[in-house]
Amino acid sequence: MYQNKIVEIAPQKVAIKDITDSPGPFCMSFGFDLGPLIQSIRHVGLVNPPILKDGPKGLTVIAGYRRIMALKKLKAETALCRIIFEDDAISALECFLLNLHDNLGTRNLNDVEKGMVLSRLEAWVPKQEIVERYLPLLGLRSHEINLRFFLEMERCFDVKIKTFVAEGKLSWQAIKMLSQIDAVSRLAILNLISHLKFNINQQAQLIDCLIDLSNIEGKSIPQIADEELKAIGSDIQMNRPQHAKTILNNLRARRNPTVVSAEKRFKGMLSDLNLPDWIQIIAPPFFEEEYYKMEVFFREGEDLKNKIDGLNRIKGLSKLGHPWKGKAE
Amino acid sequence: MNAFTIKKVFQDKEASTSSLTRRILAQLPGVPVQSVEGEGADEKLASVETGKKTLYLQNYKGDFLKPCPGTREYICCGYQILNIAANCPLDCSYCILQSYFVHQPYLRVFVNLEERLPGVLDFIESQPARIFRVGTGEFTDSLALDPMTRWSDILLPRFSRLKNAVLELKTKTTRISRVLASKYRDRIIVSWSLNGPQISAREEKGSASIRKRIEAAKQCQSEGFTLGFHFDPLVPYPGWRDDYTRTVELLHREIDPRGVIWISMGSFRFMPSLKPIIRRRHPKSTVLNGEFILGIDGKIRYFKPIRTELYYFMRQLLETWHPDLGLYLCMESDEVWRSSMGWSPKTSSGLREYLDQRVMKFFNAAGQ
Repeated sequence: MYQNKIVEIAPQKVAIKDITDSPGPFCMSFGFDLGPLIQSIRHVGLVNPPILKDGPKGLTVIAGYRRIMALKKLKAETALCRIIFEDDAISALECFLLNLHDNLGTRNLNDVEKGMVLSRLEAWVPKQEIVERYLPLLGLRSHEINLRFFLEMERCFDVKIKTFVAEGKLSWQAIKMLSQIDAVSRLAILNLISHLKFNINQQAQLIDCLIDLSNIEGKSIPQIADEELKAIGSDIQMNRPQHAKTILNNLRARRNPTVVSAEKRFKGMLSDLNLPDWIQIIAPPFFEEEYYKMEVFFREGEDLKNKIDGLNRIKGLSKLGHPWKGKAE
Repeated sequence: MNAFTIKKVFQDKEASTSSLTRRILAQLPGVPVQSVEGEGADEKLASVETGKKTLYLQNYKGDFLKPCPGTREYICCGYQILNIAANCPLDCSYCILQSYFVHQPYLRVFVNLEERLPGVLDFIESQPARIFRVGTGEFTDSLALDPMTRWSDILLPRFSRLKNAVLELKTKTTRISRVLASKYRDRIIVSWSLNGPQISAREEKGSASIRKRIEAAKQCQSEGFTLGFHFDPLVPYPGWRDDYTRTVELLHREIDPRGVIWISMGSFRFMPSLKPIIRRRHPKSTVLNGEFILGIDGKIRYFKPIRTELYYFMRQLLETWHPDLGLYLCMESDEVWRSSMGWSPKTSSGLREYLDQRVMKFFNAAGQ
């Protein structure tokens, strides 16, 4: 078993400059913060020796890429490492699995890293085995759709989007939607999200609306995003989250004009009634249910009785109804 | 219409002794058959496209007869589904089965149908006061696989003798040969899902054209079958009125309305999980372009005035053809019923009663 072979390899002093900077084929680290590791090494030194492979291109990191990067930042000259040589008869897959298990035992991989793992495994392991064995190992449901999604993300997302994903700045739903559109549109959306700081809840709504509008209006997503940015202009009264909210509202009105105009019209109808502040009338969500709701604020029974009597004196109340009807009911 | 090509068959070991299995396999000479056990027909790697060409013969463990999964929030017709199969060889962009069976894309045919059918029939007969409107077209197309499965041979004689049930075969195909070959007509309804020709051409991949469907309906009617039609999903798009008018004109030209037991109407509605599937699998589809809201049953549906307009227009159109078509709405509210149809059954039991009356009128069925 290769596991035992690794333990038997005695760590030896290696010049850091001899280790390649490139992550190499076994690496599964993305979007990491070296700070804590640098602190740790500075205080107690390198506890676990990284594992390297000696090959035609020099020393490649199998496990411990971040440790090597931290040592380089610390300008360390040497480190104790285990080295696997060609003669050790440890296959590339075994090297990769060694790093995978080493990582899984000590930390949670972010979604970009999971994509890296699956993409690398694809070169060595049949698809069915990846689905059945490795997806659950990464905490993912064992289905081909998941594999396809992570591979797509690994292949198609650029570093900027991957960084967002790795940092948890994009909702899972948003990532899934982004994986289904072209790279240019993806970038346009990401720029919008990062520029106006759309929160996690707003992201999926934004993307969904942009994709729908692109289909309905036959325009590209960057074009629509640009139009919306221009429409809000540079209103200095609003902060970025307010801009984001305005854009979402505008997109929604563009996507669902009948719904939004009904909502506006209903608001207008209520406003025309000049309701006293002790009464509130609420429409059902999207007017889907037949019944509207009324809230009356009162102190005691006598107050309530007076207010109910007062309802009869509100002019135009009987005309309140569905806002899409030509004339209010 | 293209024939549906089966490229591979998985046969569950339990299902190997079934006579239906033998008859189906006899229709598929040269198609590789793989015997599997339990969850042996691994579908994790199968795409929907592969699934539509792969038959999975297995025994169904659950109840063969189940109520249609309507929701309490809207008025439901109380239909009963006979579970003969799951999944469909057609590939309609809007089909909810894409979401229901996302992890089970194979065409599952439940070959213990003949074995379990007596139990279903006994159950129906044990409630003589109740009328059972039974259909096979909810989780599959009733006739798309019929030339191969010969479901008609099994079902028509058995349902035809029941006093308190009707069997509805709902399809978008013209695969009526086995139905026509049957000598049974009583208590059998052959139904077609209809739409505007544009929607049919763009969104209902693998289905017959609207003209061909209506021609097949005409043929069934001329051979003594009672007909049903289902305008579901109704989809508004630029020119929808003209398009649906063309379909109703075709009905007017080819079909005797007196032989139509009912025509249902339903507007496009879907679980939120279907949207990304439609986007991925049918990027050119326009069914998602309408103005949708989240309904009170958790499904996405058109904004109420849009639905009302669709139904009102269709009702006017259809009633011009004939005043007594058994029009009804599928999964709608009392309010939408009233504003679009001019009346309402008010509740699900009211709608059940209305449709049961249609059954009694057409088949002089027992019940009540």
